[in-house]
Amino acid sequence: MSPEVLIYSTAVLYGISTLHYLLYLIFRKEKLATVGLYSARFGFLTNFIAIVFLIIQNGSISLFSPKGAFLLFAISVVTVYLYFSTKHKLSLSGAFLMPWATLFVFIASLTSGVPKNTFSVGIVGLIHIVSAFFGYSAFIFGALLSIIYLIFESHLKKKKFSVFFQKLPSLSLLESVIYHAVTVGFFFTTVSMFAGALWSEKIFGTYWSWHPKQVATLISWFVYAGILHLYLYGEWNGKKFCYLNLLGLLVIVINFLGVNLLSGKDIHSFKG
Amino acid sequence: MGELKLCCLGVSHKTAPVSIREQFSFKGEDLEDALLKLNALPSVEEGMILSTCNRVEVYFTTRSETPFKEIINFLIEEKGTNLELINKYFYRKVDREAVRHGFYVASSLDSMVVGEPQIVGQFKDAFSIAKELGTVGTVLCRFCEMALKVSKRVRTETGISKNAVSISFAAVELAKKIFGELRGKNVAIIGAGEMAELAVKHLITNGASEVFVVNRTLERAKKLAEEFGGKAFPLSDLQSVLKMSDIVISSTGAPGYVLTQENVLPALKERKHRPMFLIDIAVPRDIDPALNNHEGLYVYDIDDLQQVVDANIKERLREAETAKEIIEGYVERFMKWLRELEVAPLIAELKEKAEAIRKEVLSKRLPKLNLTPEQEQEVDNITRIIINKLLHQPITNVKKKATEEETRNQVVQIFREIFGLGKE
Repeated sequence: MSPEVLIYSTAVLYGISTLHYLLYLIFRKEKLATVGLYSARFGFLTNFIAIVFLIIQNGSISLFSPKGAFLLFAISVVTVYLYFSTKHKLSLSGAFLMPWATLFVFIASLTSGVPKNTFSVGIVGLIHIVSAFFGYSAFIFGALLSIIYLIFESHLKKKKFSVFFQKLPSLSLLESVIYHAVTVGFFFTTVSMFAGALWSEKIFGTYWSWHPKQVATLISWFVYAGILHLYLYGEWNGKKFCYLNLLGLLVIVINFLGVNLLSGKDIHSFKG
Repeated sequence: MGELKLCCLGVSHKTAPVSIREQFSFKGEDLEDALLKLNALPSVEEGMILSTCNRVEVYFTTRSETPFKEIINFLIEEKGTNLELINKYFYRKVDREAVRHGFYVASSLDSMVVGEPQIVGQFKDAFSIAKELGTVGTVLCRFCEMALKVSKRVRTETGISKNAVSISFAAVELAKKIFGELRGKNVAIIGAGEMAELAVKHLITNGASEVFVVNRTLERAKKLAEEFGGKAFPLSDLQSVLKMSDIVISSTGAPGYVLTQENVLPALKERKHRPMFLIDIAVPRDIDPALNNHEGLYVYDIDDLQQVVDANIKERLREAETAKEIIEGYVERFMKWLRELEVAPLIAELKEKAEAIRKEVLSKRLPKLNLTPEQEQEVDNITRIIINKLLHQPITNVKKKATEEETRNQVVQIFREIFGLGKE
């Protein structure tokens, strides 16, 4: 079977999931959220198999092709979502997260799966890219939950008894999940940076070369280190913490769009 | 004799005012007497009475062509009313409708406040009294057991009784939306009042840690504090109480605002801006509504709480739709069972008849064959198998046809005639 079929099925499954979560926001029926959850789970499976097939076809290096990278991005977003939402009953966040997974798979279906480079990837390279995307996904999840927090908070203040009021457990729980997601993101980003440095040494003979991607990631790392410090020791909690996370998201987006998608022909370029 | 029907004759808050309902209510010994009399009616096979302040319903099974006639006469005699009153206010439900209605009632879909849990207990009581007096049999027992099972599923699988539908519970729900767990959270009550005290009690049962009671006179504060196991403070200590409190319930008779920017904002600062939930149950209001505009302060007055309750009631009605889908499946199952029950005696008779024929033939023919005991046993088994296989199809089919509304009576009749069963 070619990975294409699996990619299309994944796109369809994520699409169904997105649709049901959006309908859940409107009609508030738990059944809709259940359909959303199960299609996301099945999509996760096809997404995973698609990645395996792609690797079998083109080698581990194909994860650095646009197709491989976006498939990996999608599955890490979904993994983070499935982990946190089922643990804390945050079905509502599916409406915010699944559209992104769908978009990423859609992009993957349009782009090429043939890598531009032929470096040997090895375990270190694999850890580097996988943890990089898990880091991004956890930060994105934290930022989207921050948006949900801000909406929920303002509805509590304005006494608007919306779907947010009805279906979300509590402000304090949301805050702790956001914190948890950010620590997970921070952990993976750190791992990714170290693995990247080791890998770079293997291929280019140097741990650090002031490459734009390295600089951008280092900046993101410092931004999130700052956010965690402000939250833990500076009492920047509640809404302030959420605003910080949105700032963090901005840095991540600049990092990813600016460096990975717009830069020239090197290993970090996922341009199709 | 007609087929067995499960019927319900009843009056509820939806069809009649309390002045009518109370005339028909059965309590204690009255209920037992009535049940026995009901059961003694010639047309009634099984009977049960559910009598609460919101409804009086008689569930019964009968084979009569005019199922309600005797029950109505019985009610008229028992309660001394007239037929017009009953015609005007009572609903009559038969079979599927009666079953569905009973399931709705037990699942609290028909209650005044949808999802309130008391009806489940009342339904259970009605069932156990009837069981004790022996007025319910196979059908109503199964009906009640299934109703209680459905009710349990509805409660666990839908949000029908999840959200608060009273002001004091709404306060608890809001506190949970803000703080998550209430463990470690302190509550202050300023003034006194039934609703405020109730809210404090609910907060304590939901895990709130300490209760501070503030009153104009320390005497009263002490009295109330004793009740909650909390600490008492005079009104002059308000400021220091505020800085320790996460949840403040105010219910004084003061003409002006008791909680203002002057005393709340410094307290908030001392709390390092940890959020505070301020509940105003007083009329005229105690808490300056402008405080709601400050970061970390959530001010709710009595109207806001009422709005929460209204929104939650809407939510419950939404959940009730899901509950109805669950119930429909059980109604189907019960009706199928009831129809099959009708043919059960026929099937038993058919099996008996076949067995009798088998035994008769074997006892005549077998001795002539001079078989060993093992061989005899084998012949016995073979004949059994033949009969089982032969009867399997007609039995399954008649069971199936018995559940189909249109063809039911004909099929059962034909089945009877073909196999020569049920000579009546």
